Amino acid sequence: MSAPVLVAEQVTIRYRGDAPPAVVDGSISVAAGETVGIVGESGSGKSTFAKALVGLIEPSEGAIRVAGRPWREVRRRDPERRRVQMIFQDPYAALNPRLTARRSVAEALSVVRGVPGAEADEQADELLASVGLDARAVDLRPRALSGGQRQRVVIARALACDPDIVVADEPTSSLDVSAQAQVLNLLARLRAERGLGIVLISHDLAVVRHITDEVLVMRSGRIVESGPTEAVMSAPSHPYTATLLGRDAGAAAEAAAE
Amino acid sequence: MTDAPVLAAERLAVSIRGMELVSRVDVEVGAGQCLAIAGESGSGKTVTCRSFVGLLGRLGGEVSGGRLLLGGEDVSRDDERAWRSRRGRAVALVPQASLASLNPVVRVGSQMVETIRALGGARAARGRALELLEQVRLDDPERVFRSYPHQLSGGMRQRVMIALSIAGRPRLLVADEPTTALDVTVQRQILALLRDLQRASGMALVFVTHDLSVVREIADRVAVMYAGETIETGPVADVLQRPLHPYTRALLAADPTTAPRGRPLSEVPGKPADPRSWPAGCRFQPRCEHAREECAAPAPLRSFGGSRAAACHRVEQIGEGR
Amino acid sequence: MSATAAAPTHPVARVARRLRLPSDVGLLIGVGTLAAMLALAFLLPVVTGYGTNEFAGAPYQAPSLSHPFGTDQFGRDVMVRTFAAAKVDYMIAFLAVGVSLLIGTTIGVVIGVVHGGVVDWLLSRLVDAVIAFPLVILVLALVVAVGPEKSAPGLPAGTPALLIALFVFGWAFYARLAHAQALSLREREFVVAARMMGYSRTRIVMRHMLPNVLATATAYAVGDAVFIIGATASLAFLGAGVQPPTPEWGQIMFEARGVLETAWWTSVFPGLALVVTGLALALIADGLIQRLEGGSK
Repeated sequence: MSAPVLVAEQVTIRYRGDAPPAVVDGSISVAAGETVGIVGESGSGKSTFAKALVGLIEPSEGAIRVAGRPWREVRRRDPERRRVQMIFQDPYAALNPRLTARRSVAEALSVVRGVPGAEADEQADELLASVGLDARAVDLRPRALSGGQRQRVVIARALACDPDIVVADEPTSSLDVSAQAQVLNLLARLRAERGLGIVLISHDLAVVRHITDEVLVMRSGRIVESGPTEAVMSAPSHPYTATLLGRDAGAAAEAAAE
Repeated sequence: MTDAPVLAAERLAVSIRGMELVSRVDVEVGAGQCLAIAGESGSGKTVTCRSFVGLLGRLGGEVSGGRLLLGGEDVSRDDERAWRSRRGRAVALVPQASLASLNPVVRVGSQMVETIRALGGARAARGRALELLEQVRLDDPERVFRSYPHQLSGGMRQRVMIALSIAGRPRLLVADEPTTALDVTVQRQILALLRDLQRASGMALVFVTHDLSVVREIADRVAVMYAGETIETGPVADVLQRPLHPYTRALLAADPTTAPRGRPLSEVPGKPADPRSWPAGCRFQPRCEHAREECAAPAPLRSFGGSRAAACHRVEQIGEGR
Repeated sequence: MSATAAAPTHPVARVARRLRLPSDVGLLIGVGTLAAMLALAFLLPVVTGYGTNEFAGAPYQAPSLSHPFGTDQFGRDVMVRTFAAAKVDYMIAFLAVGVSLLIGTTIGVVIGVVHGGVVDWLLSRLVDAVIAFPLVILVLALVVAVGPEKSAPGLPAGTPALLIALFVFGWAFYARLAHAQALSLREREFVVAARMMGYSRTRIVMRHMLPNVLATATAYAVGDAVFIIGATASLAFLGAGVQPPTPEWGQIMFEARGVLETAWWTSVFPGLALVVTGLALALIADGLIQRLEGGSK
């Protein structure tokens, strides 16, 4: 097991005012090549936690460290900044509508990795091909792409930064079953081929079960259960986890019967 | 009491502004039955469900082929006036969960009373509204009655929508992805509610969804749609365990809920078909791994015993592993 | 979620579709009309031999073969003057709108990005102040202050004052529009992604936010151009517009107001030209907006 790249220790996140904290005592540890899932319903705080993990939100208490350094100390141009990237739920909103797929990725390559102009375009094409984007789609703007294709561009752009960890916040929620399958397989492949660490946030337990090794179950800002995915999902110890799983019990029984 | 099914669509085709979005829907629902219409985006399922409640005119659409029968009566060419008298009483729609389904500046109670009065129950409309709110299992119906839509949670709002839809005691309830935007636990409760309401009233339920686990949980029969056509129908358990059509199989193999674990999910190559460029023959053919020459011809829906049907030329061969 | 067909809902697009024309036809007609008017502005004096400020025939002649739009009080050919005015009006509209668009939009985006703090507060209040006053009165006051008779190289008398006044007050509307757009763009995931990848603030503003704001702002600007031309024409009636003898539609109509009954051609043709220009601009604005919205998810 390699050293953890991303570590959150007892993070509490409060918004202004008296509202109850969005996240309380959240902890997580992710090393390259590991996949951790965070499941919960709306209001569980999982998205807020995800944003803090990528350094977008400052925790009110506790610290989140990338390669040992807390996010608050990391400056825009520091190497740690690019080591954790995010993949978003709405791939259309996650892309600049005026940039073609190639431009979006090439820009990341040149700004973040200093790849010069023409080479950036070539490498962008390769990167897009490696995530399975049709060569004809490389010149298109997001508007002309399908949901699955857009998400691939988002993934390629994130990969352009050469991150160690990718935090995927509901990456397939807005996609069809077929597009979802493609994206999930892609993430699994990236993990196998590049040793990419993945934090997958989702409300869909089947998705999390399919792709993660460890899982954290969140409710009202707290982590109520955590552990190896298969163990937690087949024999949950916390009643809330059991409630969440209730619906999948039927599917599990069917799958077991096959 | 007629023997005709509550809803029957025979080779139903629907076009919007001249573009055909649905080419062939062949489904039937009887009283007390629940039919799920399953499909991904672009399959035409939403347009189909709108046609069942006569809301096509608003979209500039019309039934462009086949027949739509409600209780044996052909309603394919009915105008807005005929549908308006029918809506709420004979058929009702539960739309997708969203804040926009209810008027945000009017209290829930007023909206319900307005609907009940429009359906012809002016007296004791308030009482009826509260009764409906209880029927949909809302704790504290009085409080919900007094609330504005934004003060309620998504699940509660959806229960209100259901209450509104059953206010006129319709014989057919059409639900368009009513639980898609809701949390898993809430989703389960709403589905159970719909099932119980259905059993209590004997109404027919048509449930449109893209989620196969929902199909399993609530429906008796399922019709799978692809590229504007019904490509497979049958009892839910049969279709989900022994799918006949390659698309249904692919869908089941790609869905993490049903796919075998430990292996990459099955990927359906290509993109969903675009209505502007539907292939002339079998519409799934460009993406089908079992396609052969005969698939260049349009695939009719064929019966396969056990009230199952599939629109595929090669069902038998595929079944035998050829 | 479901993809309903891209059925045109815009009236122009619907008509175009029925007539089997490309749905962009409105845009093309608009641009074509403006181009035609400008072409005529340059060609007519050459073709007819009449100058914009030369005696070409007896005064107040009714439209005839030799003077299709008739002649005015000084015997100048009305047709040549009407189209020549297009040059002047278009230039004013283009410059006024162009500068306001660029400067106002940039300021608006900056306010949106800075968000919170003294700079935001000060600039926002400035924008509010400018917008709060009736534009035409402010412009009039400034024109009079600068001096309506002044001219500058390349700019006929009256236009420098007019342009300055339009710049000083015009930018605020664009700033407000851009500010609102920038605020919503900031939270859009692609801007968030840019921050996460470590893009500089300058890059985010210039490459990611501004271009997306400019697209909408430009469509709005074309509509604004209609207003500018109308305002310029109105100001002529107050003596604060483009000064004679430079042809400008408002100015021409102002001079012709006394003879509306007897020499109708001196008012009607410039008026029609103005209306046609307004329609063309409206078609262009509509077409641009249609293009922008026509490609949503």
